[in-house]
Amino acid sequence: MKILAFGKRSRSDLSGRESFNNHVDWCFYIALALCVSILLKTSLLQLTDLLGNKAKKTKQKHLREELLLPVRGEIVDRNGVLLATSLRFQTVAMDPFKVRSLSSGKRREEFEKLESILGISVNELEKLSKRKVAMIPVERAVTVESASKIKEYRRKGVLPGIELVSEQVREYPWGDYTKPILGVVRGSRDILLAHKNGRKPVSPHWLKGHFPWHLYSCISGATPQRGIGGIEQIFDPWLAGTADHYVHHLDRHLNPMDGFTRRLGEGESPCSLVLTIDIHLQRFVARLVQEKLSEMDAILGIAVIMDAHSGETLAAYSASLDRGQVVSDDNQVFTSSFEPGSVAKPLMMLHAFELGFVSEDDRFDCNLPTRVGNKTYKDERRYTRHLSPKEILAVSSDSGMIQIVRRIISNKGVRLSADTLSFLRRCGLGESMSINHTAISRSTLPSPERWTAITPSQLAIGYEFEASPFHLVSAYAGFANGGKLVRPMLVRKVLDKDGLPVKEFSQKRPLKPCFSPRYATLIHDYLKAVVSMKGGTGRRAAIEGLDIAGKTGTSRRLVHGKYSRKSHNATFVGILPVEENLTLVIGVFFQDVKKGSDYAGVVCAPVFREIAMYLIERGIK
Amino acid sequence: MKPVVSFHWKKAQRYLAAARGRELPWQTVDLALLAPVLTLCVFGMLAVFWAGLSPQFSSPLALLRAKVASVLFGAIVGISFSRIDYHCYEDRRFQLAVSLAAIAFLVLLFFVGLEESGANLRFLVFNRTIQPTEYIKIIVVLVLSYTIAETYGKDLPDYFIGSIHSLLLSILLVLIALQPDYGVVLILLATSLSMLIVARVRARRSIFFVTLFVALGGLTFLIVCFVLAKDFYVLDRFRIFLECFLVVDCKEFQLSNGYKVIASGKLFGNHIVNAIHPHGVLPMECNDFIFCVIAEEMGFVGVALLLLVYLWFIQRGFFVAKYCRDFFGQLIAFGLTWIIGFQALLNILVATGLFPITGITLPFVSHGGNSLISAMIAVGILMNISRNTFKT
Repeated sequence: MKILAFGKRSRSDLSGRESFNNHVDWCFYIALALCVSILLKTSLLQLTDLLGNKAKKTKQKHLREELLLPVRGEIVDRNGVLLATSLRFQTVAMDPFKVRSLSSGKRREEFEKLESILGISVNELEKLSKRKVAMIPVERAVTVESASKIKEYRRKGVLPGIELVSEQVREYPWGDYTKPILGVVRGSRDILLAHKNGRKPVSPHWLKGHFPWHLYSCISGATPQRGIGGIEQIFDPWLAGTADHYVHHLDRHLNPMDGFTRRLGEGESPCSLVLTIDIHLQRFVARLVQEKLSEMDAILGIAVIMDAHSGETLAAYSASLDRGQVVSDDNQVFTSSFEPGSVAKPLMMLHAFELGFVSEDDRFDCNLPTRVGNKTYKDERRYTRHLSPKEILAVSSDSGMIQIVRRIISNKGVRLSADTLSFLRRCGLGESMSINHTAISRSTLPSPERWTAITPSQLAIGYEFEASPFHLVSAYAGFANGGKLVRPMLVRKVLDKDGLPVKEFSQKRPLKPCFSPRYATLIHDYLKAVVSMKGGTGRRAAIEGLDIAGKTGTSRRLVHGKYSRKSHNATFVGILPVEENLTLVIGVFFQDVKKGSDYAGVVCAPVFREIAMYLIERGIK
Repeated sequence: MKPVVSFHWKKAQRYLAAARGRELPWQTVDLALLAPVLTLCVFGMLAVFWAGLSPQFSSPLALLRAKVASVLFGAIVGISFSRIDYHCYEDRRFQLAVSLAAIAFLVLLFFVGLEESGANLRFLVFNRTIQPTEYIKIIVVLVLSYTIAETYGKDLPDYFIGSIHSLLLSILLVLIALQPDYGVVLILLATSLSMLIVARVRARRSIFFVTLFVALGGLTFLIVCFVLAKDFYVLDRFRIFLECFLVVDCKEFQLSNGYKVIASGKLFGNHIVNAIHPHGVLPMECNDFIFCVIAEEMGFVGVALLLLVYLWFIQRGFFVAKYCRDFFGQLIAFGLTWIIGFQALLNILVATGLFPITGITLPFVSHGGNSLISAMIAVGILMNISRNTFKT
């Protein structure tokens, strides 16, 4: 190969080409030297253990898992009126340990920045920073502008120890009126922590230094709202949905980097509920119960309105009197149970009719005191003649009921307990009442082991067993619908996020009669006499032109193991035909009614009447 | 029935007979130069796929597809340039035209460039970004080679040409520095100085060149660092470099994470399942810090292999430069090889903390079409020089 020489060159120099080649070689040696230095540094990193397990920790440090719960589902009434909704907002929280670790100058600077953004004085922030907790909210529900400013500062690493977390709050536009049925949620206003690796959540005071956000699932972004009580609890899985699982990749300041968030798992979106409740009726009932509660100085008042055929609950409300103040109870409408008193008489009479030991033409001398075991039952009222079963119910004669029960006892003998308990179970008593297929209300029956000579008599007049308002209303619905036991329903349907029905609730079809339709209708007629007949205990519930049926019940309260003479539970369960195909069962219950107004006919029947008047005037939408 | 095989055999024979007496395409290709380039492209595809597993990218395959497309397009461009005789660049009007075009593009960048991280480095044309500085690197080598070759050993009147070209180059450097893109400025300065030294420009003239370059480079640096307060991060980078140089446990975010990613590679590399880099711990992991990804995935062995391939490329480029028949070709071959080799080594030095962070790509490997295409153009020109040099 011919090598060409080029240009002029100085005599002292090597030839131009040789010189060029030498220099090029030197450049190659420089490159070689650089490669060697790179290899040395790389070998220092890769072949020695100088970094230890820092590489592994880096991976962990720059990841933050987050469970982002969706906004909890809404609850609306049967007409679409909003009853509960959730709002998401941003909260500025402070890690006092981390803030205290800053120099005073830097801390001051940080607080001044926060003051300019949030308007909270530096002194207040200083006070907060002295608190010995892991995380403390500085301001909740900050504006979008403030949140974005703080986010920007955090991204620059300007505000160490200040976190921006998102929280949810549950709003109930109808407030106390819906509280007893909806219940409440917990967790909306707490910053909760949960550990991502299944270890125990770390209690804040164990944390000595800075708050290790990167080690924890940042649950605060999805402060879980758990329903406690009522619909919120029963339908919690539907309403809450499940969280979207995110992994944030953090920057040098351990802030999530934009575009570095990966969704690991997609959660289920929450559903909304359509209740059977009519909120306007609910509000009327609530106001009425509150008013009457303070009038009578009772400790608890409950009202339940249910459709006798579909089981849809139109209103359910409970309130209690606490130190002279009426308070809406969270859950009493579901959970309270008590001895119903005379309200149970129609059930036992129906049982006697079914067994054939009593007929409509039978007459009973109710002036006679009736002795069972060591207990004597005697009516306070005196009667001019022997009473028929219808009249026994109308005047609510204990003596008459006991005589009927004695007929059963004398005929059934040893099988009495089993038969009676089985009948009561058929009426839905003695077992938890399902509301939308979820057992929630309690009822207890005496166990056969504790069966005594007076137990049947006590059961007949509504003692020695407990029932919730829903149990009684449900059993009375059987009289109105021909002996079918309907289960109460509070939720009509569950809708997905697009408003399409996910699940629709209805009674299990076909409903089987729990007791004889013939005698159910008969007892329904008898119950009409309670309201319409002269001397009937439920006269105050009567409305002219309407075939109202119902039964009063007054039971003594068990106080310290003894039945009190001063404190009573007053009950009225009535059946109101509103329209041709719509019959409502209305239960009114007051607990601890003081003497002087202890008759349920005086206390509860007028309440029933007012509710009935309202329903007739307004109708059901 | 005619046998199919014999038919093809006859066709091949006919083709070979027709081609006899002239060079066949594969005979004109410098395979020793092509092999390291192709190996580096394969490295690049693998690295881009691994880097694409980072959460900031929706799909690693999308990045890989883009990379493959860039390689194919770059290959076409490279082949085209390898077909252009490099002597046609040895034309005063051509040199002036490309210099002015480069200046015009750089000026235009200030007005219509996309602003990213405080710098205007790219144009957006038909939904594709074009980064002129990548191509200007080649123009600078061509212009400088021409200047040196023209003025070498000649008398004073032609000395004027050198001054004009030096001035043009200096303007280019200042404009690039003002964007600011210090990485490219650094590479251009280093390459230019190397070319001057290698060419053994006479003392008087070399003083002129060196003074001009150093003065303008220094002036640019001063303007950018002290007049524009926003660019003080350059000093910060020097501080970081001094802190992290030779220190394994560095506290600086980018470098410390880079170190940890490299360290987790060990000797034979870390399996992708256990790797750190897909967790977004690296900044610019498919461009500036792609070396870390290779180091983690392929370990020390992979790093050594990568460096060997680059050395191979540099060696072959220098070989072409040494044996080229004319001074202009020699300078171009040296300049283009050195600009690619030096950029690659600088990138790796930055990733390993042996040099301040500059923000330059790893040629052939990084994700980025402009870098790859400009490197392919350089390889194409090198191929042409090689073809002219070693043609029988």
